[in-house]
Amino acid sequence: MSDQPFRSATGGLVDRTRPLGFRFDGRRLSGFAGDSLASALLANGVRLVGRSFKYHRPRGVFGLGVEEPNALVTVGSGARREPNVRATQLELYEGLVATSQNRWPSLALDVGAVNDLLSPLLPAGFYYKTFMWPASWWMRYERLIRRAAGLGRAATEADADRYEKRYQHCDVLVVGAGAGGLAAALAASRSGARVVVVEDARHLGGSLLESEARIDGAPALDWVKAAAAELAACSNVRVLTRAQAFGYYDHNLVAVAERVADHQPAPDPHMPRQRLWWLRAGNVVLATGALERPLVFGANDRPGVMLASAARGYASRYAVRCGQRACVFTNNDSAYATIAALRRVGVEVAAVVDVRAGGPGVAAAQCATDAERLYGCVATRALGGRAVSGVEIRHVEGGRLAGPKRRIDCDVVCVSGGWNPTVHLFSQSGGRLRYDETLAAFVPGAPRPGQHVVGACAGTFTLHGCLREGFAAGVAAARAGGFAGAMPRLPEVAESAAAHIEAMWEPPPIPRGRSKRFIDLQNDVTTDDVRLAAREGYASVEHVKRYTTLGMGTDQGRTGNVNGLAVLATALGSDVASVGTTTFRPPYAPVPLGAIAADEVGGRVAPLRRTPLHDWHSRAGALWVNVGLWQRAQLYPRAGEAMADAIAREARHVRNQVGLVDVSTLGKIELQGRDVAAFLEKVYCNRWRSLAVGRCRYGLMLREDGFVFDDGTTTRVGEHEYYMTTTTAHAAAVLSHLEFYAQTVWPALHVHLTSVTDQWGAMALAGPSSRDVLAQVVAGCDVSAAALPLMGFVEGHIAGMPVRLFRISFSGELGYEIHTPADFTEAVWQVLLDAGRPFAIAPYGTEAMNVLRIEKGHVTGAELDGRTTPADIGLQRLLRQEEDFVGARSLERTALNGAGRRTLVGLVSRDGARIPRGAQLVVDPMEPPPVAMLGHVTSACFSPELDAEIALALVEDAVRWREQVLFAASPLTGEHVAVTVTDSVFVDPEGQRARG
Amino acid sequence: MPAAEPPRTSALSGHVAEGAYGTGGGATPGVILAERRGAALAQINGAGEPAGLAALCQTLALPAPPAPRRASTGNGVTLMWIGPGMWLAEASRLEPRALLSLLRDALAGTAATVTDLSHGRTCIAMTGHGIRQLLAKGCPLDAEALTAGDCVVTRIAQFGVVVHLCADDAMDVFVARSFGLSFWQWLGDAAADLGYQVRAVAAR
Repeated sequence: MSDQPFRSATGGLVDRTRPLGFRFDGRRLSGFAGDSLASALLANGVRLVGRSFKYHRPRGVFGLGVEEPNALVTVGSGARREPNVRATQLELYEGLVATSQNRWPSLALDVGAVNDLLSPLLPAGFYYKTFMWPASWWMRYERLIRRAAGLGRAATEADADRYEKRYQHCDVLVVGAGAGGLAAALAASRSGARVVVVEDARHLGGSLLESEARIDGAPALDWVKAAAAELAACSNVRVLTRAQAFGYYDHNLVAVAERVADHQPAPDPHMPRQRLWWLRAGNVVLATGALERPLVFGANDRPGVMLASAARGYASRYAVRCGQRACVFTNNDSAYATIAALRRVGVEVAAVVDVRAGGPGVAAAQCATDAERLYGCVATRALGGRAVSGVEIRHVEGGRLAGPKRRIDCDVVCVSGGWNPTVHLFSQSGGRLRYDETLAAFVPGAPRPGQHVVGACAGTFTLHGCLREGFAAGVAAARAGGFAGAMPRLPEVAESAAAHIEAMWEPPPIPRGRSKRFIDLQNDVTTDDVRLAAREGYASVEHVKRYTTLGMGTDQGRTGNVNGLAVLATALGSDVASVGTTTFRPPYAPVPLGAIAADEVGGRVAPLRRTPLHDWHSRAGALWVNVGLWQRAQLYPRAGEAMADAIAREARHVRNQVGLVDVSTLGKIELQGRDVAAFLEKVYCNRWRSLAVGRCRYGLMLREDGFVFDDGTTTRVGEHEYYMTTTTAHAAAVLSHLEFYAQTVWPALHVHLTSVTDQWGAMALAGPSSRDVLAQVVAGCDVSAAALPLMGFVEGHIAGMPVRLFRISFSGELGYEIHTPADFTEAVWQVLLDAGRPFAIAPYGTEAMNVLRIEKGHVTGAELDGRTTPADIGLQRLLRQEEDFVGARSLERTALNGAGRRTLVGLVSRDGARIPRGAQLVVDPMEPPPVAMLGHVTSACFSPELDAEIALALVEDAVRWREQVLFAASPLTGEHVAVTVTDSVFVDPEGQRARG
Repeated sequence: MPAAEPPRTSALSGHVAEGAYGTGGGATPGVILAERRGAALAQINGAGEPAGLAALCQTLALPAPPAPRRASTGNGVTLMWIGPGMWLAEASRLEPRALLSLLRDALAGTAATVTDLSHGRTCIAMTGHGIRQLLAKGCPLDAEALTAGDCVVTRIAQFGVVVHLCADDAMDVFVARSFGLSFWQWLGDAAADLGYQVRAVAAR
């Protein structure tokens, strides 16, 4: 392990008693607990951390936190490999393994760097211009371009971590825990309001962590510690650290990603890696602070050029020297604070280059330094290759460079171009931004209702101002929620006024200057790119963004945007306020998709719905089929049995002996009330008033447009009590359809609807021996043919358990539906199987059930696809004539009547070939297109009863094609099968079996 | 009709393993989970008019039926408001048919109707200091604002539920039986970082 040559012996918030070993590009290095990966790398003298996106230029650490555009690394390996992690935000832990990105074969020697030499050939819009033609070549270009695009590579394995969601409500939400945020939280919490504080960093304090200021005569850090302790002791306050508020939605809904375990070497298996908070707040205090803006000059991307605030932060928070000899380049007073911080850790400050001819304000001018002061000067170019070795300085007079070039040797250039309030969340909430000429920055306009903006985020850059605004906002936010709180005493803060910033968007042009001046470091966008876009006619800032990629990527222009806008404004002969800014959209910073999906992944994408017989099917070795959210037993294959054979066996068994199938997924609705029969006559198209107690009837339900909506049976269980079944698929839709009509169209009818789908388990017992099986076990009722005829209903008991018996047949065989309360269903099923053993009873699955119903010509969702009328499926006879019901009027429409309608027919394969489902019916499949399509196959199967491949189909002019040969053509699968058109009922057309 | 009801097989039968799970942060588990089995449950519809209300109150010896978002218990029957004129009635010491008769007899002659749902819901009883945190992992409502006696029709994760806060640290959650096991599994995952105990029988 190295000895961290760039770390000073004392100071900072790191724990020197806890060294941590880590690897960067295979090198073993060490840092301390409390380090970020970036601070640990800098402490070890690692300057080169990555290669840039487009030109593969060497890049170093530039920022201190979320604003970092360069130092993106890949962390971890395998399923936990995560690319594009900002080293500035990644907390160091023992054994951390990080690798640099966008380089090959190594960071130091990168083949892709040839792009930098070719850069004159790679202007903005290069891809659009170059790869437009020939269009057919795009597919080839695309593969190469895609390979070159992006930075890190995402893991290809499934995410190994857990994530969770959390909903939280509060009276006051404070976003950001710097001076303003802490003040707001203190004031609000003292009123008794429920407060949540969200801070992105590990520590509370924000810029106070590296501030020289004194509050009430003590270091600012003491005030932070006291505030943190007070908040931690309040039961009405929740403080979330390592939590990034990334989205601000309507009605003060704020989304926050909390990094629960990202800083832990071995995550607790019971803890989520990240937690996504949905915070619903009565009032929101935005105290999101500001991010420093860089200055633009030649080769300003060399490793060693960094934000002045970052250099200050590394010195104060981590006691790390970013180099040995620094040059500060600024247009405002804030950078002067960096000088003292650098000196304290032993960095020599060679020069302060200030754009302002008059230099800084009084306080800044008095800062103790022996650095050379160059006022009215600019840096024109950084020198060096993989690290900065110096900077070229020129005087500016009258907007032009003047005087001779000066070279200052240094290995760090600290730049400060002013501050951009972090207005992203404010803007996301719908707030309008305003360009402030004095600050040369966009600041929030009027806050939204229930919103308060304080501190640097509001453009207030004095500590005193931040505290005052924070306290006031905390009190106001609590009051808005009905909590009376007093304005806390404002602490004494010693600070003096700063001189105004002087906007300097880029140094005056240098004749024949070749150095790139970077605006957007992450996306390699230069001032020339923006000017080119303006020359090519892109006047809208949104267009320029997309053309040049300025402000895109994970960085979203946090440091570069305003500089880019200013350069664009200059090129357009306009001003920044008129050019405006691009739209801020969530997320503010990247959020792992895992956190957004939370626990709804894999099998949990949608919750599984199980029938009461689920465990029985499972033990019986059933194959499953998903039907909506339900899982149903598809078939019960025997060892070594092919699927098709098992299905045929199960179906044959029902026709010849007796079978039992789980139909618990049917929708079930209990209807009670005096007017149920009248209601049923309105919502069904067939007759209901005549239905006697103890009888059931098939019902066909239409939509208002006349097409069939659903079918099922309804039974009159008692005088005013009916029991309806619906298809599995439409259970919920039918209930809401009926509720709509009951509540809004016929509210005078006395009808109450309750879903009882989950209350009742259901099974169908079918086959010639079904009555014999049932008679053995049922008590309290008579199931003889006379007592329980087809479409009859009785209640009884099986082994002491109440059952409802319906003589209904979907298979066409003698059959019964047996419904029993869900907790009894498995026991009843087992009793039937035991009693049926002498009759060779066997369970069958949904596949065999489908075969049986196709053989019988019964329709299901495949035929009732929302485009068929009762007449189309041969059920015209059910319609009540001269009476109104839902859909009746629509059935009179011309389009739903007469020739051209496709009606239900059967098909039999002529040569035994499988009939493809969905196939089109044509006269001659070899005919050159366009081929007239007469209809289509809706359901198909092998019929064990007929020993033939059969199908149901909808076909035009069915009478004409009866007994004719057509072709079922499926161009998709390259099949065409000759079929004979038949009646849709293949088995027992007279229906004798079911009546037996 | 047989004298006693046969044993019931709930949606969780065979899936409940007693024990302590999740992180052992504290001495006491954050939540204790148990299925409340064998209870009688019925839905009352259309009891919003005076006759129905009076009949209900008289039978259950309640001064008034629970207001919206509230529940109250009388004569061993807990009434939970689930919609206008709609209540869920739950009785842990009555057989389903007894509860059904009790309510139907009481409401005879009114416009109200009663539907047996005793087998249609899985009821999970949760106790412990972590129940609100657990609720907040799946339910967008303000879990901290719920007080004892509150009853809300809402969702937890993707499950439609009725939540009854029986006491400050006790909560019954009713979910459709077909989702019972999926919900139980979700609870186990969600409670892992709180630490939880599974019991075979609910305390109440």
